[in-house]
Amino acid sequence: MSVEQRLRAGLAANTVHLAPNLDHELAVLRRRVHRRHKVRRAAVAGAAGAVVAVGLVWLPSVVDSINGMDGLTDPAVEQTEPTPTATQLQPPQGLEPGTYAFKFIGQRADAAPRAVIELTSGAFRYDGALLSAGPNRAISLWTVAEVSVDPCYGTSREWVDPGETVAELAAALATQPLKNATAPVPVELGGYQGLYLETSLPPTGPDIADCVDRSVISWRADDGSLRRHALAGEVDRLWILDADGDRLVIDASHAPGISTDEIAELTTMVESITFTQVDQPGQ
Amino acid sequence: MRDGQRVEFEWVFRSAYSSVLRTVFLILHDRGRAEEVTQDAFVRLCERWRGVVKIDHPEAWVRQVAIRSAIRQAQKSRVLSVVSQIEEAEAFDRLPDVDLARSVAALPPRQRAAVALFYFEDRPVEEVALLLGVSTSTVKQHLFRARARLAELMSEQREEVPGDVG
Repeated sequence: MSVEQRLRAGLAANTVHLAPNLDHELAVLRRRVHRRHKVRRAAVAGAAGAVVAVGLVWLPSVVDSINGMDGLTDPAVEQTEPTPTATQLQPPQGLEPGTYAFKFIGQRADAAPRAVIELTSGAFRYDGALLSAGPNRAISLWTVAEVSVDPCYGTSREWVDPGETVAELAAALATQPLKNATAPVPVELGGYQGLYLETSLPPTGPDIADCVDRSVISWRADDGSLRRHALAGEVDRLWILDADGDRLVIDASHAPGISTDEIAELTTMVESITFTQVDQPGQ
Repeated sequence: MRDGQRVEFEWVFRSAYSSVLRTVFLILHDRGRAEEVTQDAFVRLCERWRGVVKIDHPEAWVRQVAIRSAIRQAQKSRVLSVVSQIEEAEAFDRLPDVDLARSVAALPPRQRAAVALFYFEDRPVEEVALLLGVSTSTVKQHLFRARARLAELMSEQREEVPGDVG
């Protein structure tokens, strides 16, 4: 018997025992969907009362978390994780020079990898979700579950699943209405392959103030956190990486009009990112 | 979900669930995890069904989500602990074609998925490529390598098994 014949016969034989009770499975599914729906509604209600106050004109709009912000760990010091909730948003923190391991927004507490960023000098602030490298520029780390079909209408309109791959997400973000985008190009960062693209809001009109909540929402993370923009001309430089099957997004964003030196500094910070598996179960 | 939507969703669920589950099982070789992955994919489908976004080919969509999720899980668990290796061995022993199951399980997850879609689901290479999100030439490469490796593993197994004549 050839390998092909063996495969056709053997694979079928090895799955014969899988005869699920469809009524039972459907009932389980309905319960799960109902539960998730309830949790999401409760989280949205919780987030509505939460305000992220960072102290910069532009930054408050960058992240709007539903299930809470992700924590920061310093592998050199400790590996403890806060248990975030919608009402326990972390206050902005000043960060001393050093090496920090940042969790991606929406990443499960036990998931790896974490992004390791070395902060050499200058004033850095961290509000539990994004690292501000100075006025009007920041780095945030994401898992992206869904992309908004029309960013101007944010949560009041529909979302689309961008698929599972880096290319699919890059394509979805590159074709979002309202925003300008460059064509995605291959990139490598910290040993992971991926795609790089830049998106930006038009510098003038359509008026963002006319959008729902006076902001533009690009995507939603796995935990429901929203990537929100509120400034015309805001630029997002996106590294979308395939980290051994986990799709991770590094978003270096800045307001229009910052200097080329400041943009270069942001780029250097991103390009120096490495990844650590320290929080992987069993390690 | 409106009544019409519910009926449509149930129809897709009943027609696709078992088939998706079996393919996912052939990638993960673990019934519990296969059920979890399949359920997750259908939960996501159901949630989208309730929303405004229309999915043109829901069966293909849910299959794609489940298979890619299974591949990711398989990639993550390639380094198995001793306990799970033993559990896996016990699970294999209950399968009708144990040797084939072990050989397929030795393939990299993407090759396993390509083999399951091509030989078990009998899908053309173009469709396998769409489901895996890769090119047709990559699928052909996966299948070629998988067949070569399986032939090697199966011939090793034949050599290890003593003859029936005693």
